[in-house]
Formats: sequence, C-alpha cells, structure tokens
Amino acid sequence: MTTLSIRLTKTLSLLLISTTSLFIGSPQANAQSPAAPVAAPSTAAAVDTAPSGGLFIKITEAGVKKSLMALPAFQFVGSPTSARNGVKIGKDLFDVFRNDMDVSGFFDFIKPEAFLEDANKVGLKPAPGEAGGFKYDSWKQIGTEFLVRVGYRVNGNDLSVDSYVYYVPQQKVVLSKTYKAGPNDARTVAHTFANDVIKALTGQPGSFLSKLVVSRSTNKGEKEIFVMDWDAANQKQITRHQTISQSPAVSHDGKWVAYSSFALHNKKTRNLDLFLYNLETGKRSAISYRQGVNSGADFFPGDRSLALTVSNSGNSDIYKMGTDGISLTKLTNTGKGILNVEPAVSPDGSKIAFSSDRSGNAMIYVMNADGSNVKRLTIAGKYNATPSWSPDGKKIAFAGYDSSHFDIFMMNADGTNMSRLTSASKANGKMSNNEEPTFSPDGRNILFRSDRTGKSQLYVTSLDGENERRVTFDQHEYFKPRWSTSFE
Amino acid sequence: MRQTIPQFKTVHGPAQKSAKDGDNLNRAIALSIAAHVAVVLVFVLKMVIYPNEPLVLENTMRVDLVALPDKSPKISSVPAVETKIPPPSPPPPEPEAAPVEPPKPEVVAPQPVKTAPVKPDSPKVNLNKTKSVQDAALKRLEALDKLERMSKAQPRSAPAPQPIKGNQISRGGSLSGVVRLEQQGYLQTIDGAVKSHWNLPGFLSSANLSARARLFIDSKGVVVKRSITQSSRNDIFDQRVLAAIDAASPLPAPPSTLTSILEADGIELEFVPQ
Repeated sequence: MTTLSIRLTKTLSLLLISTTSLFIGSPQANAQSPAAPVAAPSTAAAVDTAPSGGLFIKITEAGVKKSLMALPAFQFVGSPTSARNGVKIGKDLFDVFRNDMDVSGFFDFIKPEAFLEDANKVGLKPAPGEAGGFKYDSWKQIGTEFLVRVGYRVNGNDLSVDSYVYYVPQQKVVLSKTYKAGPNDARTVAHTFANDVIKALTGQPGSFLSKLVVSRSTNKGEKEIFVMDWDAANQKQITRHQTISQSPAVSHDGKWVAYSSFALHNKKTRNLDLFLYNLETGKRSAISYRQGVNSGADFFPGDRSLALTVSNSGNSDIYKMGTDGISLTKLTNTGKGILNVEPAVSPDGSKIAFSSDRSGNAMIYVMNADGSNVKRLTIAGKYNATPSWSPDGKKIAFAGYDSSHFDIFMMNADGTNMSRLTSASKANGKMSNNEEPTFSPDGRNILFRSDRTGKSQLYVTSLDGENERRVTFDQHEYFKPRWSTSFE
Repeated sequence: MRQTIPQFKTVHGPAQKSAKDGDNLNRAIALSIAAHVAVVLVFVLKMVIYPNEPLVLENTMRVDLVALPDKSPKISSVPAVETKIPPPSPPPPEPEAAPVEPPKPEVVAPQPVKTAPVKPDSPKVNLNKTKSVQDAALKRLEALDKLERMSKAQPRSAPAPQPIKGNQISRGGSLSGVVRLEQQGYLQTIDGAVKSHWNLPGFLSSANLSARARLFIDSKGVVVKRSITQSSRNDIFDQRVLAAIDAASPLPAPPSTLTSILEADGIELEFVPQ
C-alpha cells in the first residue's frame, strides 16, 4: 500500500555475540545418529535394547512457561532541544512495542517497581564493556530472562532507534538493531522491532505489521469499510457509500479489497452488490450486482476468482466467480430455501469451508473448490457460522451458538479436536456474543468481535483462549474483521 | 359245475405296507415341490409383468444430542514459581534372609483374680458379680492354654529363605517376567519425574527442536552425572533439558537389576516437545 508505506530503513548494527546458537535461526537437522537407540513411547517407558546396548526413554509434552521480560522506559538519547518532541515519540514506541509483546503471549512483564537499576541512568549496553553500562546482575537478581533496552533520538525529520534485547541468564545479545524512519513512523518502527524480536526467538516472523479490513459503524449509523493496523491504529476509511457496507476481504497480493454494499439501483431499490476496491489506486467497481445477495466474498489464491454467496436464483448458494464478475460457477446446489453462505477458501485454494442449514441447523461444512465432496464438520450447537482457515490450513475457527450466545471455537480442518476459545459475560451478567473470527497472518492468534462491553468491539486471543486482549477502545462498532495474510 | 375259485383275502404283509408308505411320501414331496415351484413362478411372472416401483430411500433426520465444548479451565501448565518436589521416600527395605520366626503367642501369665474381701457384715457385697468375675478369669485362662497348644501344634508355615551364595543358579539377565516389569516401572518413574520438571518458554514450545541427554544414576537414585549427547543447537532448549534432569534428582533407588547399568552406562533421554 503506497499510502501506508513509510520511509523506514533497518540497519543491522553490531551484533555483539552470535545469537544463532542461542535462539532459532535455522531449522535444526534432527537426523538421528546411526547408533541411535530405538525410542520407547513416553507413556509407557520401556526397556529398550538399543543398538548401543543402552537404556533409552523418549520424553515428550514439555510444559510451557512465559518468560519474564524487563522492559524499562525507552531512553531519549538525543539533544535536549528535541527532547520535547521526543517524549510523545518515545511513548508511542514503548506502548506499541509492549502491546505487541503482550499479545505474543510469550512474556510476562516485570513491574518497574522491582527494578534494581534505574535504566535511565545507565547505558544501553552492559558493563564493563561499556562504561556506565547496565549490570547483568541487577536484572538477574529479579529473575529477568529478557531485558529490552532502547534508546532513540529525533533529529529534525529523522528518527533513529537503537534497540537491544538481552538474554540475561547467559548474558547474551538476542537482537541488536538500529531503525531509522520519519518521526511520524514511530508506531511502524515499534511493530518492526517487535516482529524482529519474535523472529529472533522463534525463527518465524511476527505479524505486527499486518493490517485489518473491517466493516465499522460511522457517526451517522452507517457501516463503511475501514483499513487499519492490526492494533486498530491508523484507521482509514475506504468506502463512503453512506449505507451498510459489509463483509470485506483482502486479496492475497494485498492490493484489492472485495466488499458488499447495499447500493441504490435506479434510485429506487437497494441491492447487496459486490465491489472491488484497489488499495493502490483508490478505484472501485461493482463486479456483481445480480438481484439479491452478492456477498461474503473470499479470494482464491492467485486473486483471479472469488467465492461468494449469490441468491439471484432464489436460493442462497455459493458460487465461484472471476474478478471480472462475469464467469460464474455454482458450487452448491441444495433445495429451495437452504442457505449456503460465508465461504472461506483454504490457503491452498483446494477447499472451501462454509455455513449451511441443509441439516436443519446452520453447521460448518467443507467441500472441494469445485463443489464436490461436501463434508459436514460440526454436529453440535444450534448455529455455527463464519468459518475461517488458519494460515497453514490445519485449523478452522468459527462462531458457534449453543444455548444463549455465540462463542469462538476452533477445530482441526477435519472437524476433530474442537475447543471453545471464548467465554465472557457482560456487565449485566449475561453471556456476551463472540463472533466472526479471523486468524492472524502468523497463525498464533485469532481476532474476533465481541459485545461484552455493550458495543461490538474487536478482541484478540491466543489459540488456547488464555491470552485475550481487547484491540479497539472506542464507541464504534466493528463487524466482519479480516486479518490478511499478505496485507501490510 | 362251476368251480368256485376260492377267494383269498389279500393280506398285506409288513413289507408291502412299508412300500405303500414310501409311495405316499414320494407323492407328498413331489406335490410340495410342485407347489413351491408354482409359487415361485407366480412371483417371477408378476415381477416380469408388473415390475415394482423403485425403492425410495428417504434421508434420515439427524437429531443432535451433542453440545459444543465448554471453554477449558485455565491450565497453568507450569506455575510461575517452581515448586520443589520433595525427594522420594526411600525404597522399602529388602526382606532379610533371616529365618522367619513363627508367631509367638503372647503368653500372659494368669493374673490372680482380685476379689475384694468380702465383708460379711457389709450389705453391699454382690455375690453374683463376684462369681461372674471369677468365671471370666477361668475362661481367660482356658483360652490362653488353648492358644498355647495351638501354637505348638501349628507347623512352620514356610522355610526361612536361605541367603543366595555360590553354587546357585542365578535369575539371569533376561528381561522377562518380574524383572522386566520391574525395570519398565523404573523407567516410567524416570520418565514421569523428568517430564514433570521439563518446561520450555512459549517461543520454543512449538519449535521443531529436540535434544538428547545421558544421565548416570547411582544405587540411591541420585543423578551423579548428566550431559547433552545431541544438542538441539539452541542453548536455552539444551539448558532446559539439563534443568529438568537436575530437578528430577534424586530419583527413587533403581532396582538391583538396573543398578550397574545405570551407574556404568547410564540412560539416554530424548526430549521432543510435541
């Protein structure tokens, strides 16, 4: 996106100590040595006569523990004349980075009151290598595993951020980078830093630079399509139809948004038409305005076709349609009055998950991309809707209604191993609705909307449902969020 | 004169009666077969002339009696503060080879029955009570005598185990029967003890890493030496492996059949998070 692009350069500065041996840098070759003994299952450890003649046990199922992170306030290291402007930048940098680390679910933060060292009075690097540097022992004593030290300076239109992440138990550097950008790009710098930390620790990139596209209420009570950072910052309105615009989807190349809007036909009637909006040029076109519903679109890989619901035949069926809006292939063919809606194309494009009430209650189904081999995935609940694929195609999240409210559920792509991720009550004690899940690009989190505060706001949770955070804090209402896999 | 031929009344013998019964049976079988064939023909002709309508199989109505799962309670897989597991209790002592003594009956010397001196003038003397006390004491003495006789008559239940010395066939080293169960049980003990102390930071829990370590255990169950034999190439992962082993020590004392192996060769553990 040109409008969201920034002038950001990342400069890899000194890497004090090689970190590849400490954290995941490259996939490890797990080849077993020729003399490797035969493993015994951990559940029934057995005496094994290994080729080497020794005893052998395979230990599995490690416990998971959050790491303790010390995150002192970011240090302004510029000239005093620019300090005034630097305060807000420093706060933005800190808040955005901390929120990213929090949502990652990997860390617990040590309270600043427990710090034994005033981070503002010591250097960013450790003593005795640097005169006046911080002391590892000061952080080790309070159980710190990861220490983050950041210094920044603002010089005119240049923002420079020196960042360090240390692994205190081994007194090693995990990450050492300098970021340079414009002063208005502090949030992007912070997201980039957070992504780099996650990549240094896991070997996989984070998704904190990704964006959302969502239908959001306006002050006039209408719903328009907005694009925003994953944390709801930098909201940009891309539709002004002054009506209900809904169900946005982002193309795989991140250039297009498909959405539906109740467009006025012949100045008399409104019809739910499908539009394509080019994020680079700002141009839009209505590509499907068949009578009835033209909604719930999702892009196939390659972005040349979409899966969507069309109801011009009288029934709501799922079709495959070219982005030209002309070629149309019917994928579902059920009886009259049966709903087949909310198609979600799998990441590899081979399958489509959707919701249908063909069995009486709305359930989640999956079929091949050509409409064959329909298989019912859910049998429980009264209304299961809005399926969403994980980026690796192994999981499907959906909203399920059982007795009184919707909650977010996740299951394997074959319908097994279902788990409930949400359960929250409102202020009046009634259970809240949690709906319309969408996976983060890295597959570690799920974003959804919830009315627990009375307004439909966005929340994010980890895949085990244990690390839940609110994303939006305003008076608007958000619907059908999509967290794109290639939308930065 | 017409000679009258004497009429002889045919008298059927047993053989003739049997043949007639056989004919009747054959006739009945033939009639039965013919009747069955006729019925089959009728149905075949009916199917040919009036073919049946195709069988319509209607979809069954599925009634869901299942519910969506509840949110699982918060699982704190690893507490923030590690709790130290107390060392396991020492193993039960080995049975000694001393001969088993037969249970000695507790011989209680007959206690003189204390009877309160009866005061002839005392109007409070209860003769019935005194007599009952005396009777109880006598019965007790009889019971003790009987018990002593029984203990003398009771043969020794089992011969005392003899200490194993030379010229004995040892139990051998094959992993079968009780020995195998014993060793498997101990390995499961190691597995459980180490696993309970093995935890990884979240950012490594889904990483495709594994490591191997070898540990040596003395006869008391103490891990006297441990080392990484195949690194995960990740220092934190390797450290967590060693930390889990350290935290699991001391283990219960190994069975005697494993002691020498665990002390000399040790045991190798492979750590795979998932």
